[in-house]
Amino acid sequence: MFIRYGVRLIGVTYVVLGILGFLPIDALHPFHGEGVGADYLLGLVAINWLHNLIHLAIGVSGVWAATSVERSRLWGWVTGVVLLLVFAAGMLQAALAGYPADQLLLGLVPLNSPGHMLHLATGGLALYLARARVPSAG
Amino acid sequence: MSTRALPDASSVTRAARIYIGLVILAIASFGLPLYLYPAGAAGYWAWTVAEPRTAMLIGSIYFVSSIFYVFLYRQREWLRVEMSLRSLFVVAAWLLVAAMFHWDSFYPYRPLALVWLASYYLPLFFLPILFRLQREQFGVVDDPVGPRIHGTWRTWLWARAAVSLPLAIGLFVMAPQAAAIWPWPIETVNVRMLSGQVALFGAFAGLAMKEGAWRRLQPFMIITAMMGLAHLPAYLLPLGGYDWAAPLAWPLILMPLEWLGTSLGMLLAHRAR
Repeated sequence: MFIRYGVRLIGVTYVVLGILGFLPIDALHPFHGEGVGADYLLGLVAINWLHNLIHLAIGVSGVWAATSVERSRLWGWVTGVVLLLVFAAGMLQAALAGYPADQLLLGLVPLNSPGHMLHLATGGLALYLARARVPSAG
Repeated sequence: MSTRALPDASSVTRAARIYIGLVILAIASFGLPLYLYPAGAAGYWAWTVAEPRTAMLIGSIYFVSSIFYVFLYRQREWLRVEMSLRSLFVVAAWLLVAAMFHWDSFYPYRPLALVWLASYYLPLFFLPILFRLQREQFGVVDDPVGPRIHGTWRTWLWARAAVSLPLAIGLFVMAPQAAAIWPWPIETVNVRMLSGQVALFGAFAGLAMKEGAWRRLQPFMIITAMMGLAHLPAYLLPLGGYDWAAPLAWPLILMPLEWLGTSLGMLLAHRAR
């Protein structure tokens, strides 16, 4: 079933991102000191230990939710809404701060534009999966 | 009273059609300004592009792709859509890896940078889901009817893939060295971005032709021909200096000519059969 498959795919990706963020290999998340001082996961997404934990939580819950369609849809709703809210809050904060290289959301979680757009893409996709109709065989 | 054909294994899902529509909007927003107003790219493009020739070259890719995706949007048969969407996955992954190396060259909050990021993340997640949905809704066409690609052309596609893929990887890995022998001043980020096109239009057709159904490959050869044609003005127009003595001067011109020649040759040969 593609809804469960999609949720599992997003979940596994976030688990991998979370694990990569914790690996003590600088090349995987080079430090950028010009802004708030954050590692950039795979050179793109601003992270710290809390952000990595959040990625892991999203990922593990997604992999778990993918065991049934109902849980997948619920996960899609919750994760989609949360990620889109974080996207909107992040963009608003960036706009108010004059679009810095990166920023700290709530003073805790580093964000930057590749992170915002990752939240937008995966959040939108999670909502799509939450609302998608199960296909009837052609 | 109208009659409507029942969907069958060759139909395209509504989700795929909507996604292709989104792709058209995104890549047209990249291609139109870059191809038609390359001189201003430094002021609006997502990453550093100093030379108008570079901007026009990148723009030609997006401009032509946006036209091609309108054609793709109108296709009713999954077989004719599938390969182009697979190629989109490949190029999205390739260019995102390039962006990972060169984030410092990006303007993080320019509108086109934001759209670029979203439109390159999305295929990596959405296309596998879309292919799964397609299979569940309409099944799989294992052995499509219609003409097969002629053996000579298959061999040629394999041969060019065998050359193009190592070349693309070499350009990516040795981008600073390639930039030094490029016929005009070019940033390393742009060499890496353009290496994705070498992989895509030189190698992908050979690697992805599967059982060799011509109907599967035909749309991809149409965009390859369009791409070859659209690249030529970027090389030949007087957009600043072009150093004909540079080691890459002629290979860069010959490559789109080869794309054009191979594609037109295949389109004509299979039309006649």
